[in-house]
Amino acid sequence: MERDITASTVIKNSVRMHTSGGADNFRHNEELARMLREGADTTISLLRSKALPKYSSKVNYSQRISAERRQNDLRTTCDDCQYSFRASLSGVVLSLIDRVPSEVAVVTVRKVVAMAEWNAHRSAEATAALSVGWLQIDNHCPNAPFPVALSPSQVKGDDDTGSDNEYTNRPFLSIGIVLAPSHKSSITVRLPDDYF
Amino acid sequence: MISILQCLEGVTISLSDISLGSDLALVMRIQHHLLGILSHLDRSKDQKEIIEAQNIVLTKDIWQFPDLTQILTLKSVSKKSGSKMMYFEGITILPFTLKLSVAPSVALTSAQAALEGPEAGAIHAAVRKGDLLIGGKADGVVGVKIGSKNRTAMAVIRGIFKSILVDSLLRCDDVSLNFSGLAVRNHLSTIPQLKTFIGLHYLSLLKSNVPALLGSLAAFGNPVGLIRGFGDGVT
Repeated sequence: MERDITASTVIKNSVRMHTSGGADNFRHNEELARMLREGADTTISLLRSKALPKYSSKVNYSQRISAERRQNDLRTTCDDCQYSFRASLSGVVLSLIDRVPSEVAVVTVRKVVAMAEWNAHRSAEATAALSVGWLQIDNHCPNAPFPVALSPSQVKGDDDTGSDNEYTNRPFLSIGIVLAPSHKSSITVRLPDDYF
Repeated sequence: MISILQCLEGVTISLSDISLGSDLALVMRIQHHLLGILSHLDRSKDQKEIIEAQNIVLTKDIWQFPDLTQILTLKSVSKKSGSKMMYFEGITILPFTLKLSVAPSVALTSAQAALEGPEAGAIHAAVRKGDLLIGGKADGVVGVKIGSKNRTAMAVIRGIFKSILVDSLLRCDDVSLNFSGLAVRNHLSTIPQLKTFIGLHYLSLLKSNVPALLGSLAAFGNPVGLIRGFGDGVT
C-alpha cells in the first residue's frame, strides 16, 4: 500500500538536507529562516514536477540525504592522500670479494616482498609487511667443511614434492606491522617528570 | 601528563628454521672483510677532509665514496630524539629452531694459499693452529694471532695441545637450539626498552640451550646426537 507523505514531512526532510549538520546549527534566526525557505523551495519544486516522494521512496530519500552529508564530510578531508608502496624482488645475490681478489662468501636472497600502506591524515590503519622467501650464505673459502654456511633448514616431506617449491611453503623471514589510526583515547598516561 | 601515544595494533615476526654450518676460518675472513670495509670508509673520510682542508681545486673527476658513517650517525641521532612512549597491543615472535654445526677448518694447500693471497692464507693457518685472541686484544670480537711460529720444543708441544683442544671444542654436529616464541600483549614502553626486553628473552633462551650445546660437542662424544640417532632409527 502506498501512502503520500504530507508536504510538512517533505519540508522537514528538505530542511534536514539543507542544514547538513546537527541541531547546533540553529543558532541564528536568519539561518533558520533561510533553511526553511530553501526547504520550502525544494518542496514546491518537487510538487510542481509531481515528484513528491511516495512512502516507499522515503527511505531512499533519507538515504540520499545521509549520502550527501557523507560527501560533504569527505570534501573536508579530500586533501588527504593515500600512500601505497610495494616492492617485489625475485632475487639478490651479493658476493663478498676481498682485495686479492678472491671470493669469501656469496649471499643469496630470494623472493623479497616489501609493502606498506598509509594515508597522510592517519585516519586509517597503516600497515607494513616484509617477507624474505629464502636466505642463503655460501662459503667460498677453499676446503670449506660446510659449503652452505646458512640456509633455511629443509622441512621433512619436502623431498616428495620436489625441489621446485622448496621455498614456497614458509618464508625465511616475515614481519608484519599494523599501526592503529591516530585517535584520541581518554586514557591518561603518567610519564616520569624527567621524560622530556 | 597526557601525551599522544603511537599505538601499534600488531607486530608479528616469523622466522623459519635455520641451519647454520660454519668453521672459524669463514667467520674470521668475513670479519676481516667487514673490518676492511670499515677502515676503508674511515680512510676515504680522512682523504675527503684533507682535500677539503687544502681546498684543492680538482681538475680530475674523482668519484668519492659516499660517507656512510655520517649518514648512519645522522639517522641514529634522529632516532634518538624519537624515542617516544609507544603502546603495543600485541607483539608476536614465532618460535624457531637453529641447527648449528661447527667444524674445524681444513688447512690450505700451498697452491690454494697462493691463489687466496697471503692475508687469507695467514688467517687459515692461524685458525688451524688455534691461535685465538678473544676480546680486548683482537680487532673484532674474535681475533687470531697471525704469523706466530713455534721455535722451541716446548712451544711445539704446547701448540699441538692447543690445536687439539681448539679442534675438539669447536666441533659439533647439528645441535638443535630451540628458541621459543615471544608474545607480549598490551605493553607500554619505548623502543629501547622493548629492545632490551627482547634481548633478555633471547639471552635467557641461549642459556637454557647450553646443555644441548655441551651435549652435542664432539669432545664429549656427542651424547645428544647419539640419543637423537637412536630415536630417529626406532621411529
